[in-house]
Amino acid sequence: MLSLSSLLKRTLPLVIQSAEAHRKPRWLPVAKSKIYRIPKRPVISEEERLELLRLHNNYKTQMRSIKRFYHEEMIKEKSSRESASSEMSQRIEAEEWARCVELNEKWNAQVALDRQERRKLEMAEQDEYALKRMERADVLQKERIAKASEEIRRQKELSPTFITPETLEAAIDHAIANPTDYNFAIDLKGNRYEGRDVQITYAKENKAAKSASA
Amino acid sequence: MPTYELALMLRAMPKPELKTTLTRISHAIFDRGGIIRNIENLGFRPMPYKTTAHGLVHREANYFVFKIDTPTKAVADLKEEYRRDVDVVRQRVFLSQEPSKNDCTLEEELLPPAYRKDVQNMIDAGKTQVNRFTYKFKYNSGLDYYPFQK
Repeated sequence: MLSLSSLLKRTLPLVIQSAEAHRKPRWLPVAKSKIYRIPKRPVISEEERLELLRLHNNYKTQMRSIKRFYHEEMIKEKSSRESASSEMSQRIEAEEWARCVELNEKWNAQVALDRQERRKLEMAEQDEYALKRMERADVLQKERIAKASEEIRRQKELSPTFITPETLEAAIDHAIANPTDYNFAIDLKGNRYEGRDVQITYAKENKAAKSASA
Repeated sequence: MPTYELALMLRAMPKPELKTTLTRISHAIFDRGGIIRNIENLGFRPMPYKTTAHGLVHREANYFVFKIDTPTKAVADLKEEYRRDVDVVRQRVFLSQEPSKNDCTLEEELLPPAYRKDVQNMIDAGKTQVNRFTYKFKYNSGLDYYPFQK
């Protein structure tokens, strides 16, 4: 099964200790027995402190000098490159710009031409639309006027029958003397019997037919 | 000026008095620039309800209809005046309507549906409308047979 060599050559330990298993949760307070415990400060001897300070200072100084050297070098290189190619690059840029402007103007001219044509068409369309509307409005207005004049003519024809203060007395007399009654009865033959107090007398043949059928 | 119908119920009274009342009512219209087209008497008739007006109980009334043309703004004024008139029991103003021309079309309506004009119109309208959701196979698709089940 497991050989000794494979056990010895293993990469992972057989037993893994995890710190989390023993740790208490973060939200628990400090244990009562440890409240007044003051952690011991690390004691460093004077000799060692001086030695560390020296090493640290050395490191800082050297790093600073290297950084400054590279920075200055970069600045120098940049300035030299700019001075060398400034004239050339400017000329190329100007040429590019001129080319762009020319192309842009060409495009603009083309678009302007198209727009003019389109505008012409649109204007014609608008004119046509407006004309049509005006014509329709005219026709409607004419119809309205004709209708109104017809109404006026009708009323003028009727006007002699209107009651005026002069004919009022006669009209009132006439109205009192002749009460109108719109009620009527209708029989199966479609004969109308006007008035609500009219005595209906059937024709004799009708009665005869009725008696015959009965 | 629109045409109105002024319907009035006048209290029971002798004829000469009725005449003066009608004259007074008419002159109120003339004074406001109105026109009277017609005065109609619908008779002296019992009212549908026992009615009180101006402190008196009325069971019968003279029914009158005035066909008048008057400015729209004068109508409220006229109504107010007639409300104060002790001889007027009840009054209403209606906008006069044109007599409708209802010709009898029963004969046409009783025809079988296929012969009716409106049904024929509906069928014609239906023929012009195409259902977008039914795809019709086009025979000019290059195939020399109908590819689906008939």
